[in-house]
Amino acid sequence: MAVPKIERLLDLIAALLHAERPLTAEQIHERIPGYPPDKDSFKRAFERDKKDLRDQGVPLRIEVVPGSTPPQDGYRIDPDEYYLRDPGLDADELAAIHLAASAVRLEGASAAGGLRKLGAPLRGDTTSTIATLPTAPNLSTAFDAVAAGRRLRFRYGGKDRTVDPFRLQHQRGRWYLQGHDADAGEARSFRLDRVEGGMEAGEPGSAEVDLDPADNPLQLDGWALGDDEPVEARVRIAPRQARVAVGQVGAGVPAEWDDDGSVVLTLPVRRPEGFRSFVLGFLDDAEVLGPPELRDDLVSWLQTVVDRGEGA
Amino acid sequence: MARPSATDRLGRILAIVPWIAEQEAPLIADVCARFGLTPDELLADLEIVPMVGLYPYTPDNLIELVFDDDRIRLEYGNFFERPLRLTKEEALVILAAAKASVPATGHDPAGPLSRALDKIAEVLGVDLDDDLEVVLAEPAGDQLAVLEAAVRERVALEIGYFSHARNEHTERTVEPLRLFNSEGAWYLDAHCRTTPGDRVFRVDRITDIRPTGDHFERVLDRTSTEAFTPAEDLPRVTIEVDAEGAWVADQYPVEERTDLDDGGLRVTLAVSARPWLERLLLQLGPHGRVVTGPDELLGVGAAAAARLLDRYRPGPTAR
Repeated sequence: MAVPKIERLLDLIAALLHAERPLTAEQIHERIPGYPPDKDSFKRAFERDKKDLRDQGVPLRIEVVPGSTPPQDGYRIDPDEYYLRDPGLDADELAAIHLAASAVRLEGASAAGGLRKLGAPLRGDTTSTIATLPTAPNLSTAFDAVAAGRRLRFRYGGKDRTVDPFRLQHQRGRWYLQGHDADAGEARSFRLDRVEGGMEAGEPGSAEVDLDPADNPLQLDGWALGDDEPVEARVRIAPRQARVAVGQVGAGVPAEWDDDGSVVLTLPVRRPEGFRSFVLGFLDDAEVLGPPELRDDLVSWLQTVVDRGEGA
Repeated sequence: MARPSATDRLGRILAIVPWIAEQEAPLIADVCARFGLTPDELLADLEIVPMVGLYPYTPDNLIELVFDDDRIRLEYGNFFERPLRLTKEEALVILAAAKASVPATGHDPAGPLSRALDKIAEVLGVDLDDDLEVVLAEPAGDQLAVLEAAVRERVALEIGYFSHARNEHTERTVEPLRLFNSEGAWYLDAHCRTTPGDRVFRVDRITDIRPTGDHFERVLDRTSTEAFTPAEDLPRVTIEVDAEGAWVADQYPVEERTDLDDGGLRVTLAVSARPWLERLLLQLGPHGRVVTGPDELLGVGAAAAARLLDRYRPGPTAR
């Protein structure tokens, strides 16, 4: 009777977990039931099995078999790497994790596999999803690189980058990786959905620079992104959008309320283009009060749109 | 699709067997509850297990599972002592969900969620303070809490709402049905009594909230958490942008897209209202222009620019 593949995989895991020395492919062929007898067919089947195990997260090691001459490669699973340590979650903690995982989901991924391992009860799902986080290419690779201190190589903005990552962050519906960019010599943020192609991760601990996230907050406001010295810009927002604007810029921006319900915001502008977009987003409800150069910049921008006329 | 279910089954077995061993002789019903399986599904999963073991697969080298009435016991062959560690993705899914939920539980460091998060992070070797941040947007003040209470208690609300697309402020009476978060912003699913119909309101554009004390019965009849689905009958415009205007494809729901030789793009967008298009064209400025669209939407950008310019002309200001 043919041995089902799942049995073969379980036998393979058990054998490698409990092997005292790495097992060569030949030994695996001899000992694990269910492989085709022919050598080439075995090789193909074993390659597929290795891939299946890695996809499941089984940490398969390839090591030289001690004492073998000539040196031979063997396979082994280190129990310390394989086994999940028991986090020792109490019942209320399990319930809280379960609740969180059903309320907040990650697009295209399921929490069931992880919860099963941690021991959260899977039945009794009564809450509905309130938030769905978007996914992004390379998301779990980026996360793992941050957690394990792996150096990353990837292409971004038309350049090859070498980055020592220090934080993965979800903000305003997007995932950002922050890290020390070796060429720039300083911290940079990368939008994961803009990474071109895959990310290549080094070994754990291969990241050389570990910047402190506290010193490098993620800055997403267009007007504040840039290397120039900040210019203090004052904008008046009409009453009907005043509250929306204050909420948008956040508590760090000074806001003076007028009796008529309008508000004047004082923004530290490092990037005039970003500031212009911010102001134009309010259409008729925003007016740049100063400084004159930012007011003039907006006027000439609008004038080019008027001058071009029809079609625009 | 046999393959995904086979690997799924492998994952389940590698989690269930250690748990049975650890619990000594758990009730079959408890195993089922723990892993979200029916008894039949559980038995089907475990059927293969007594065949598994170590070379040379003599009876003393195989796993032995014993079914005793309503209990199950691992008699021999504890070859999988603990569950397999989490994959990168499994870890991320759980930690991101928990991180995102912490503010909703009031950041209580002694609360069960924070304690669970600390324990899991420790086992996974993740520094949760530094490595991962998940922000779902935090609307100003206590708006979210007030809306949440109204959804729970089914109390109709009078709200002031600024419609971004129409660029107008309106007062409405709504029946709040559900709060949800999508693409980093909070939304309220509600039935509007003022212009009758179900609508989605973006929470940070709700300018004020007054509970009416009036209870309602209606329940939400949609499950999607899409904030915006462009109606079929909305007008479409096609816009050409140069390389400096290519951000449009990142920030707007583009329906058709052609890449141009100079790094620019030609994109087609649904126009939900005229002010929406004005805003987009003003922000694009010299980097974008409408190439085709209905007559009433041609010249929108230039007209809006002229209107805004008036305010910057010398002379007494309008305010």
